[in-house]
Amino acid sequence: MNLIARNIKALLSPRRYRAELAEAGRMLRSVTEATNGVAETIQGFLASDSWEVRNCALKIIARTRCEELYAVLVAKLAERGEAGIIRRNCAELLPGIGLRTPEIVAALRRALGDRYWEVRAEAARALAELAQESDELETELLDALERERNFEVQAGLAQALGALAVTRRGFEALARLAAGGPWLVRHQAAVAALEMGARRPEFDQDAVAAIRRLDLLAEGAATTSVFRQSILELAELTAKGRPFPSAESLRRRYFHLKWGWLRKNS
Amino acid sequence: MFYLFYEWFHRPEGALRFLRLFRSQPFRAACAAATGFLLVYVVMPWFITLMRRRGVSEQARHYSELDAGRKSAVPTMGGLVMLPAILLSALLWCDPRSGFVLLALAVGACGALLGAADDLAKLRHGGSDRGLSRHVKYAVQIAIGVALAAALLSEATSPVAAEPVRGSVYVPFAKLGYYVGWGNVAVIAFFLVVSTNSVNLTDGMDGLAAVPSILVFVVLAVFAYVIGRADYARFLQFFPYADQTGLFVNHHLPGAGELAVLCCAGAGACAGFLWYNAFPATVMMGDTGSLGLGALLGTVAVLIRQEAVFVVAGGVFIIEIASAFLQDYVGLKLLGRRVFFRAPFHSAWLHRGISESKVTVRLWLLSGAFAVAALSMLKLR
Repeated sequence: MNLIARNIKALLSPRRYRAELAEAGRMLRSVTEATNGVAETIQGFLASDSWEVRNCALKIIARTRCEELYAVLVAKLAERGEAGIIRRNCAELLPGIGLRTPEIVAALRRALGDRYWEVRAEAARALAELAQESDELETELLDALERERNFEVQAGLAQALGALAVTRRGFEALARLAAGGPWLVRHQAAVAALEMGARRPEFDQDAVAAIRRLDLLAEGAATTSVFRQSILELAELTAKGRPFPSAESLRRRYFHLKWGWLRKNS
Repeated sequence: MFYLFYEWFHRPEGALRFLRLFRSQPFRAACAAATGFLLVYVVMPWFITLMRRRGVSEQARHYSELDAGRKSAVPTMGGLVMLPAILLSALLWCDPRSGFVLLALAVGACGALLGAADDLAKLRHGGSDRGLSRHVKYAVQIAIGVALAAALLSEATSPVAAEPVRGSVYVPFAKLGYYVGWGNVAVIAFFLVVSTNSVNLTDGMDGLAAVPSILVFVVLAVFAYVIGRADYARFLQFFPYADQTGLFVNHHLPGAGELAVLCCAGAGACAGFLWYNAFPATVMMGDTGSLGLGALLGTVAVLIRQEAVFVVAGGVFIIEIASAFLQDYVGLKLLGRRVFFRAPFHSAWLHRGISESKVTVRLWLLSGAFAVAALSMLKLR
């Protein structure tokens, strides 16, 4: 049954699905380990017509670290007939379980071309945490950035480039992103440029120079803006020269659209 | 009340002849606006201090908004000053026996009470999502809408004398209304739910709901004044119908001009509130204010049978509620994905990183354009 028909079915019988959702919510709050029977219950939730129930099921998989159902997260991420919110959440949950298998990374790379922007954005952020830096992946991210018009995805791609890029092309793309556009993209690109400088010492002084060149009074960067404040902090952090801040300490300065300044896994 | 002074004490000659001023609706409308403004302006500082002392502050949502924390410290429920100021100013300057005014004030007060109950529930349970449930709010709003419709459509209680006007729905570019009789109950209840919630959804940033409300009040005041006068209503062809000989004649709504005075009281009170609510706000209107204002604006539009004017003049309100509806019901519930970055509309701009004051001013400009478009509906209908 296609997604809209399933959603309509769920909307037309609210009582039934509300009960299912309440049960799934209770389980999400109370269960912390994949004990006997948990996997079967989750399978039951995954078969629901309500995407909210299926969404809860995915969160239970991640929370209980139910290994036998990890494949569901990867499968749902690629399932074109699944709700966009579910696919977005799969990409968000994958780094949480900490597996770095080639299948997961390949699924996330494919998700960079998804039709739904939230999936692309979360896939880019997940890649930043799970993938290994490589020339090939950098090219893929730069291609994605080239065709991307959505600012949330651009921010995610900047974060991924900060963690994975290895060449000057990647660095220059970040410096360009930091120079203009919505503050979120500029901020993520500035942090990513510094993170790249921390990983690759050959770029550290260029990264510091790029941060100093930023126009802090552009759109969205009035004297009291968060962007201005964060960039000034970054400039101060790197003012002493070496030792350059560590990549880990810089990653904490990314801004997540859902969780704000706190890193989602902290 | 001052209108009654005119009726009771005015004599063409003598010291009290100046009382004839109180007969003039434009004069009373100006006085009502000034009174509404001054009442809010004078009382609000005291109210803000009181709310601060009692720790009654805004329950801001903390998703990814960067300065949600700032709003959490701002006193809320400013509607508790604004709505009584409108009531007092209206009672002073309107004809207090007018069915139009009494009905509008009653519905506005019901909306404000519903909002106050919601605000208090949020404060008691400590969270912006812990107020009254969506279903309870809709149910109460529908009940208020049905009661308003019943009062309007029933001959015994209706301030609108002409039965064909009461029972008709008027849409733009259709000269004659569509007569639906008691079917209008559903239309009016739906419209009231939309108007009430649209103002509530717009009230998400400093000063954002106040300015469009002022503009809609002013537009509705102009329409109420015109519709209340036989000569202007005839010239602009409001409520036309074919008489027995087939000639087109028209109705007007005697007494509707009193709503112009009430609307000006509302505009004045909103302006007084804006004095304190402009960015960075020192007080929020809360649901008490936004639901009350929405109910009042919607009721005035219903009473003068110009729902379409509210839709055009309050275009910003309609955009906000339409974006929230599309996001929640079409996007998330039906398609399982977001349609907009964030909803309502102003949140999407904010989310993109445009500063709050800039978003607010842009939406004010848009409201101004909508108000001008609505005024053109005096002729273009």
